[in-house]
Amino acid sequence: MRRRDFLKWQLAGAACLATGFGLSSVSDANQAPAAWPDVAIAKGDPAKAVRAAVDALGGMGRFVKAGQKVVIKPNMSFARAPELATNTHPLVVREVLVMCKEAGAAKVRVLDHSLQDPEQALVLSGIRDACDSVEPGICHHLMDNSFYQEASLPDAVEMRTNAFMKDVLEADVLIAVPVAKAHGSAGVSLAMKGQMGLIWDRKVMHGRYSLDVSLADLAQRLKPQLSIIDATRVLTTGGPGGPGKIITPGEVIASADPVAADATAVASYEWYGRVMQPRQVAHIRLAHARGIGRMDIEKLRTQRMSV
Amino acid sequence: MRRRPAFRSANSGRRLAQGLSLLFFLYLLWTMRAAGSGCLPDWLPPDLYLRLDPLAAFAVPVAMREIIPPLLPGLGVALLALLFGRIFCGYICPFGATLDLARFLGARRPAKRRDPSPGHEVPAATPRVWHGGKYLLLAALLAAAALGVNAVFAASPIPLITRFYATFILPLAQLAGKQGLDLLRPAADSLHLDALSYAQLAVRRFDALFFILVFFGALLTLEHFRPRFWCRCLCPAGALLALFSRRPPWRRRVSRCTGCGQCREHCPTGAIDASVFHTDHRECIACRRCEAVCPGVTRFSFTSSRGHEGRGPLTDGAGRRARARSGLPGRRQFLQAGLAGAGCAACSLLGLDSLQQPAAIGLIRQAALLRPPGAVPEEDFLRLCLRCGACMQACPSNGLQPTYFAAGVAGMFSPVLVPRRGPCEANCNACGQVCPSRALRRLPLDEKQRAKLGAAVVLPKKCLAWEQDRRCVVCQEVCPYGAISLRPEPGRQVPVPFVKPQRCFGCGACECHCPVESPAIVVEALGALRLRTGSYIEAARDAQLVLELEPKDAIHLLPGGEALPDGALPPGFTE
Repeated sequence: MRRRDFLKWQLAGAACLATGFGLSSVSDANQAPAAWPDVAIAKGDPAKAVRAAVDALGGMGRFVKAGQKVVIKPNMSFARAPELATNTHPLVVREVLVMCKEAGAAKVRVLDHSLQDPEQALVLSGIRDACDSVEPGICHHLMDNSFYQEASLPDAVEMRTNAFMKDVLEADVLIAVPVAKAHGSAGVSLAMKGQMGLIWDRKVMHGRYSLDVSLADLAQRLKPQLSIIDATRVLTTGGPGGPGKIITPGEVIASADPVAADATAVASYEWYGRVMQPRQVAHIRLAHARGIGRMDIEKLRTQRMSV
Repeated sequence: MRRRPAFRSANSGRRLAQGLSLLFFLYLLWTMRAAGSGCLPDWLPPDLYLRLDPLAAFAVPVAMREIIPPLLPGLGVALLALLFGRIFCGYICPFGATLDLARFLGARRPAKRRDPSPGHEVPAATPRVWHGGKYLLLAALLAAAALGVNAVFAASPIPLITRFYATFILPLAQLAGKQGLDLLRPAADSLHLDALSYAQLAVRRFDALFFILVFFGALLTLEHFRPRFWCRCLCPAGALLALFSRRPPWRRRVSRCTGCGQCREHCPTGAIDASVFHTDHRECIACRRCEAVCPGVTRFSFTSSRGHEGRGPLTDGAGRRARARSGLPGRRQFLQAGLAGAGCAACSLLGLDSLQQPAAIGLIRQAALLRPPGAVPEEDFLRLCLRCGACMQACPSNGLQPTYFAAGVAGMFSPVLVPRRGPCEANCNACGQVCPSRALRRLPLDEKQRAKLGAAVVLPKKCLAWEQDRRCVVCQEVCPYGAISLRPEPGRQVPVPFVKPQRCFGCGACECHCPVESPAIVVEALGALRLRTGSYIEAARDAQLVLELEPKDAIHLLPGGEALPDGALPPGFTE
C-alpha cells in the first residue's frame, strides 16, 4: 500500500511540475496528494474536528467512491452516556455518516456486536438517535449468528478462521471510529481492537489463541481503509467499560493507517497517569512487525489543526 | 331440533368475553417484558390476573399470618361468586379459556349438518364422586397453609397458566418467528426492506419445562375425552368459588321445559341433574350451553321469567323438594384430605424431603441459590412466591429460571438467577414490578441497585490469566459496578483479576461472559441482602458496601481504587 502511495505521489509531483497545476482529489479538498499527512489531529468541536481531520487526509472522497458499500464501526457496546467515554461520541459517528453520504456511498451501515444488552447500549450511547437523524434503520447491533458467515484469515498466524458480519464481507470500505480508551488486557482499545466487534466468536481470542497475536491476525484480514479515533474525551483508566479517569483533550485523530492512528493515540495521552510508548502495546508492536502499518510515528507526517 | 337464536347470543357472548379475556391476559403477559417502561397506566398492573386468583388470596395470607394487600382482588372474585356463581370459570379464567380453545382446535369437524358444531358435542360424563376431588385438594392446600407452607403453586390455575404461556408457549412462538425471519431475510435484503432484514428476535429459554409439558400435555389431551376435567374434578380455585356458589342470585332458570333432557346431556360439568330443573350451581361454570340447546326457555338471570307455560314444574325448581345429590365430599373425607395436606407440609418443614432446604428448621442454607433482587428472606419468600413465572417473563436477560429442587421441594419452580444464562441487568428492576404477591419487593431502581444478590469468586485454577498467564480479564470488562480490579502479580506477565466483595452486587455479568467453558469466576449467595421491609440503600451502607455504577471515586487509577505501584505498568501494557 505504501509503495503504491509513494509512486502516486511521485507521478502527481511530476505532473504538477509539468503542468504547473496542483492535482486535486475527487472531493473539494485543495491539497495535493503529495501533501496529505499520514496522521491528522484536529482539535475542536466534535463534528467540525472530524471533518477537518478527514479533509486534511484528502477528504472522504479519497476513501469512499460513489456507489460503494460502507460499514462504519464505532464503539457502542456499553449502556453508558456519552460523557463516560466508553462509547464513541454520537456527533462524531453522525459526522462520519454524513460525510460518507456526501461522497456518494450507496449503502452505509453503522454496526457493532455488543457483549451485553444491545438495546440499552444503542439508546444510552445516543448513537442510534444520531444515525437515525441522517438515515433511519442503519444502526444495529447484530446479535444473531445468521448475520455472520464463516470466512478464513489466510495470512493469520493463530486465528485462521472465524465468522464475520456478512455486511462487512460485502463492504467496499470499512471505517473504524473508535473512542480512545484503556483496556485491561490489551492495554488500549482503539482502531485495531475495535474490529473485534465485527466477528462472532470473541471468546476464542482469549481462550484458544493469544489475544495480541489474534488481534494482529484480525487487523490483517479486516484492515479499515480509514481510522478516525474519537479523542474528544479519553477513558485513561478502568477501560473498556469504566468507571475510570476521563480526560477531555477535545481531539480527533484520523489516518489511513490504523496502526499509525493507534500509535498516535497511545503517544498523545497519559494512560494511568503515565506516558506510554506505542511499542508498549503488544498488538500495535506485532502489527508493525508484520507490516500492517507503522507505529514509528515520529517518522511519519502528522498535521495538527484547530477548528 | 331447531336451533334457537339465543344460542348465538348467549353462547357467542360468552365466547367473546372468554376470548377477549384470554387475549387481554396474553397482552398483559407481553407487557411484562417492558415492565416499568410505562406502556400500561398505573392502575392497570401487568400481574392483574394473578391478583384475581381466589385461591392465592385465601391461602397465602393464611400461610403468612398476615394480610397481603396486592392479593385482595382475589377475595373480590370469591365474593363475586356469591352473586354470579362460578362466572369466573366460564368467562374470565384464562386456564379455562385455554382448555376450551384446545378442545375447539382439536375437535373433529361435523360430518353432517345436523351434528353438533365443534365444541358442542355431548361431553362424556365423569362420575359425580370424582367432582369431590377438587374440594379435597382445596382442603389439603388450606391445611398446608395453616402450617405455614405454601403449596398453592402446585394446583392454582392462574399461576400455572401464566407459567405455561411465559415459559413454554411464548418461547415456542419466538422460535417460530425467528425461523420465519431467517427465511425472509434474503428476500428482504434484495428488496431493500431494511427494517425486516435487520429484525432480530431473541428466543427465550427456560428450565423445568418437563413438568409443564407433562402437566399440560395430560390436561389438554384429557380435554378431548372429558371436557373441563380440570375445572370439574381438580381445580382448587374452582372448588373455592364453588363453596361460595351454593345459590347465587344470577343463575340458571328454566321455565318452559319440554322434558327433552338436552341440557343435561350437553352440560360439560354435569351440573344439571335428572330433574333438569335443578342445577348444582357449585358445579355450573355458566358456560350457558344448556341455554343454547334448550328448545324451551332457559335463561341465566337474576329474576325468574314471567309467564309460565309448558308442562314442567314452575321456575327453577331449586326448592327444597328437589335436592340433588351434591358433589361435596363428606366430613370425614374433608378431614382426611386436610390431614394429608398438613402431613405433607410437616414433612416439608422438617426437611425430610431435602437436606439442603434452607427454610427447614436449623438446616444449612444452600450457598449457590441466587434469588432475584428484592427477594424477601427465604422463609417468607417460599410462602409468598406463587411460582407464576411473571418475574421470569419480565427479566430482560432471561437469567431468572425456575428451579426443580435447588431450593428443596417447597421451593419447586421458584425463581433463581442463573448468571451463565443471563446476568441481572444493572439498570433494570422489572421483576419486582410484576411480582403479584411481593415475594420480590417492588423497588425503585436506586434501591434495587443495592439489593446485593451475592458475590463473585475467582477460581484461579481455571482462570486464563491466573493459571495460564494469558490476556483476558473479560470479567473486569463487563462488571458494571467496577468490583473487579486488576493487579500485577509477581511471576505473571499479565494482570490478574481480583474481586472486591464490598463492591460486588452479584449480578453475574462476569460469570456470564467468562470465556472459559466452565466459568472461572462464579457468583454465590455470599453477603446477600434480603429485607422484608426497610431501605436497601441504608442496609448497604450499614454493611459497608459500595454498590455504585458510577462511583464517586472513579478517578482512582485502578478500578477498585488502588493506586498503580511505582514502576508497575498499566494493565495490558508491556515493556
